[in-house]
Amino acid sequence: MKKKILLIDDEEIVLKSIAKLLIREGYEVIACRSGTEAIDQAKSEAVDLIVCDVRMPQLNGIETVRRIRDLIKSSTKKPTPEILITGYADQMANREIESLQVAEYLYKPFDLRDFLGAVKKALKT
Amino acid sequence: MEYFAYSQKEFVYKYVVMLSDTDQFKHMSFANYLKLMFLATDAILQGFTDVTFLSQKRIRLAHSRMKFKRQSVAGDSILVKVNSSNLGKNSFTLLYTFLTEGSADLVALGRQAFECVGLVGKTSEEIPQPMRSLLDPIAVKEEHLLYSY
Repeated sequence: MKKKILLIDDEEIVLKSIAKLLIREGYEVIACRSGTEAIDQAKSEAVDLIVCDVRMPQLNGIETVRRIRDLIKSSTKKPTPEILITGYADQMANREIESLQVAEYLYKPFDLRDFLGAVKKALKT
Repeated sequence: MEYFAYSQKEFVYKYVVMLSDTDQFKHMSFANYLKLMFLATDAILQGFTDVTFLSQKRIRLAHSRMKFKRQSVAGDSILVKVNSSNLGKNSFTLLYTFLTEGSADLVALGRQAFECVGLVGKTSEEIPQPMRSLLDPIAVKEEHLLYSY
């Protein structure tokens, strides 16, 4: 059975590139353009991994991950690993992300091979 | 206002958009993005201090292109992240990822290919090792990167 990945990024070019790559690698992808859209999806779909951009308008990636975690805690679903991606992070964001203890944290532009490696590693845990 | 620093596997050049950079629509004019590529390149090569270099060789721009994604306005802080690729004996490429600081919105993608040539520009010369040591730490495989430059 294909592993399902919830992919969240407000930047269309990134969403399309990563979704295409993951589908080619045999994963099922649910692509969302915003944190709000992702939370709605997380309510109805069980996923194996969450890949989320940090800097998004309205609801940022850190808060999106926190809210999805709360949703999962209050349900029977098992905890889902997360990978955060960002083009820029200041010290405060870095500290918040560290405290979240996500599976991986990648800076854009990243090497897609590194990203796939992070996905495979996160799905094994 | 400028700021540059090595971070991760990239060189980061920061530029704050000035009023004088903008056009009548209050957006930074396209030519200034090209200028930023050159400013970022200068900033990287500032670490290369061999003063005799220019009496023997030149770094010539062989090819340049830019993909423009989003407007920026006066006051925006643009981060130009620079990576190197295709680092050969006589030539190298620089990849530029322009982001708005804070929102991390992708503003533009740039790519410039450089050659090291003789003074008159007719002979191909080896890139000096000190210059290579500035480019190695920020080297990436262009074909595997997230963005297409």
